Amino acid sequence: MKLRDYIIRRILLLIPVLIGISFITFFLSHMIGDPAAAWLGEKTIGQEEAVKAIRAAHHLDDPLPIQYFYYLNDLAHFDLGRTGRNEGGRPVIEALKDYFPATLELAILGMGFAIIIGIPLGILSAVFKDKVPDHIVRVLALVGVSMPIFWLGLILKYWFSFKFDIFPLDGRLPYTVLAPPKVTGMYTFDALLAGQFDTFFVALRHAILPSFCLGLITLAILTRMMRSSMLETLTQDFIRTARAKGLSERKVILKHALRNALTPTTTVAGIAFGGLLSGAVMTETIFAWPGIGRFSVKAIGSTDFASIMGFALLIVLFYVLSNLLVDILYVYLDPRVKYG
Amino acid sequence: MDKRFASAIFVVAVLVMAFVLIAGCTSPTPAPTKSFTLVEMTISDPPSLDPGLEYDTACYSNTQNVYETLVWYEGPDVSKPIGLLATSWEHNADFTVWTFKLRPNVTFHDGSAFNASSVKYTFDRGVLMNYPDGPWVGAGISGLLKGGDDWMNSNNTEADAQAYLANEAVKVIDDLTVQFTLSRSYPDWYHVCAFPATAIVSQVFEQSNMPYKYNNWTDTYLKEHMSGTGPFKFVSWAHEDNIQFVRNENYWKTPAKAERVVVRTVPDVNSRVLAFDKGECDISQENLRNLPVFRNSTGADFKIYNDTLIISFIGMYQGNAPFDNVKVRQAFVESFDYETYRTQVGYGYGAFMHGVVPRGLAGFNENIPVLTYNPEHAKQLLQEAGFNKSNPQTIVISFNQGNTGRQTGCLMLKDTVEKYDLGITLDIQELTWATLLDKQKKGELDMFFLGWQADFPTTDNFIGPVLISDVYFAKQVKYKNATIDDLYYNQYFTAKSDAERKQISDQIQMGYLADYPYIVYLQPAAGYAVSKNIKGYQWNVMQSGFMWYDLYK
Repeated sequence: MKLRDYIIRRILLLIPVLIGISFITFFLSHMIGDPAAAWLGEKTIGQEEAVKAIRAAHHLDDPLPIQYFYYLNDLAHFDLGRTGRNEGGRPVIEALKDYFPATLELAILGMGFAIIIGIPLGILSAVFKDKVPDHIVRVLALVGVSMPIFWLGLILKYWFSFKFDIFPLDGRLPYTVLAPPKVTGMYTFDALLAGQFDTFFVALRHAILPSFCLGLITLAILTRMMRSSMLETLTQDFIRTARAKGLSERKVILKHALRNALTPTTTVAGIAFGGLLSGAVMTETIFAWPGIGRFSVKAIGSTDFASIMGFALLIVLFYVLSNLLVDILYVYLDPRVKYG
Repeated sequence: MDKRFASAIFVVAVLVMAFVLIAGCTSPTPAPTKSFTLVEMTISDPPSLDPGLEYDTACYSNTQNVYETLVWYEGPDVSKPIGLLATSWEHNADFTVWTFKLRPNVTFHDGSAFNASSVKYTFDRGVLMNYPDGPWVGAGISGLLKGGDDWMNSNNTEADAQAYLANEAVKVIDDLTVQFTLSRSYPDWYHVCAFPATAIVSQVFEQSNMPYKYNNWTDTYLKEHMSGTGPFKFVSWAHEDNIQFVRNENYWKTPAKAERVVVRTVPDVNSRVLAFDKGECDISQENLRNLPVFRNSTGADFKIYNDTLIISFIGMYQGNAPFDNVKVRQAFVESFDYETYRTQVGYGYGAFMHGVVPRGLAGFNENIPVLTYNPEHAKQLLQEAGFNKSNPQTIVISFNQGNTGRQTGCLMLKDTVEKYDLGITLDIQELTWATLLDKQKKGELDMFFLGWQADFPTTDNFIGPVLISDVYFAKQVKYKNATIDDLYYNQYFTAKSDAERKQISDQIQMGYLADYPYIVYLQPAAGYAVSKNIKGYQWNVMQSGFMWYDLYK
């Protein structure tokens, strides 16, 4: 089987996965109360007539399997239903289009931080095993893993925005700057695509603190992962052979050890990327970032089932896709890997 | 280790840090122009921007600055209504027909003219929308207009809509005169015309962009677009990020001082404080629980207003035991430590309730006694009601998820009641909306927290929902007092004078006290934060958030 066939097969496998997820989330979410609540406020939640009217309007009196059938039918037409009253009852897909790019942008930049800083630190730590640089990196990694995001976010804001005024306090762009023409919905990428470099830098300034805050745990994990896999690789026979051949240490590390050591780190990075997408709520709240994390928390708080399901399906989709990307990367990182 | 390799890694790290700092230092955020831009921060986004659709202060805090109602109030005094888009009004002897003269030479932001047809369009639109969770149904406005009840109870077909319109509940007399015909006597109709949901919308704007049909609350053009007659014009809305407005230079009064208004959604209170201190925020509506966070703020003053038209209470479900017994209800009323609650949750602000009508309304009467904490007597009442250790009972008390003030109230009540040592256990349940609704329908909740904020500053807006057996909360807790119902329906609205109406409302509130259907614990205070350099703020209890028109630097 060629790589292309493998990719197609994996993408086709997404369909049953998504149906399975929709089945589980649909039935679970309908077991925890009356879905009509999503469309009712504090003034109307106890009003029998309002509840009846809402139930009738949203076909909530139909048997659950029938409701699920309607949902699947709509899903097949890329219709994820309507949000609850918190989002004004607009189509879920519209809300996802609004919020998801903001989170994706944070996750990509956060992962960028994690990879660009975490992997070199991991290498450094392994190369200087049990020496001062190693101890420093290990302590930093431990701090990074254990730092509560809400606390870190506030501290970063206090020092870098409030005290030193290097970065803006929050938001995606200043209100005085127009958003670039929407292509991906990610302002930094859209600004580059539109050639608006000023806007790019402004958007990047806004994204740096929140993405660093979001990516810090992943950075720490990747650093530790890279360190341990590099240490293991460095004990392999082929490394000894390379050294015996008289190659410089730099060549041994970068040409021979790094690619081997990267494989497990890449696996972790793939999984962590999904985590960044679904776990950005604290960062988004602290930095007033209008992303999908805040949307999902609002949806959960008001038991807005259509939005919860839309969120769950989207995150699953990206989890699967990021893992597929990791599988594809294996082929390039390790020539021994073959699909088929 | 190769030194060159170590240097290379060091260089990479330095480059990354340099990139971050360069990005941080180059192309700084463009400074706002010198003209005055007002920045408001809010906790959450509005659900939509359609004033006829939403029953929500997050929506009205924006729409009240873009749209205008027929009536508003002079300064903070809700007993002094003044014309806004109306210049005067009159009514017939039994308060069933109201005629409003409208302000001439007013235009909507889209350029169309404001006239009697706009008023008719707005009111008919609200009724025909028939949104069960909306303000027209929820606040009872639809039912007040002639034929409104029939429409609400119909199948909502085209023929039903035409039948409602044929009643001419809202009639254009001439270009600047409109007449409302009500389904029953209602002496406070002008207050309804000050409610933000009745703000006048532009028919031309909506119909030319997305023709509105009856019984539609799913997709209205006005959910995301606005065109009113007010001092600010809508510019854009980036969901959960910001909403922007500019000054209406053609406003029929002097244009506002703020040239531009930006409403930013910043959910974290610490971030809002930092923004105030950095000079990036001018105003924000705040929950009283944020008072301690603002104490050290150098940029903001935290203001508190006591006279909200809000009441907080706990309902006791009287459809079955134990709260079908008035002694048990009285015992629980006397088990709530009102003073401690006000101190702990309200930081000492808020007022104890005399009856169910809050301060500031005509029906408020200081001579109606407040509910009091009397645990000894409460214990005795519970013993008389048959509670004892040998027959342990569990009573479920619930509150909506995340409401820490209500949670404290539950814990206080639990502490007091369980100390009686009469075998009573209070099971506190923190529930999501969906579970709360489900359990309420099944009658599984014995006690639940409730709150009511006035739609209109009228006495009946509190007596009705709280004490009348077929309305809102009374229906929810199964409270019925036939005498009160009779006084309300057959005497209150047809009273010959305000004094007579006051007397009836006193009678109703005194009557309710003997039934103990609720623990009415507080008329809570509310707070807002305002930058030290913002001036001109005027508080009126019926406004939702800030009236930007008044503010200046």
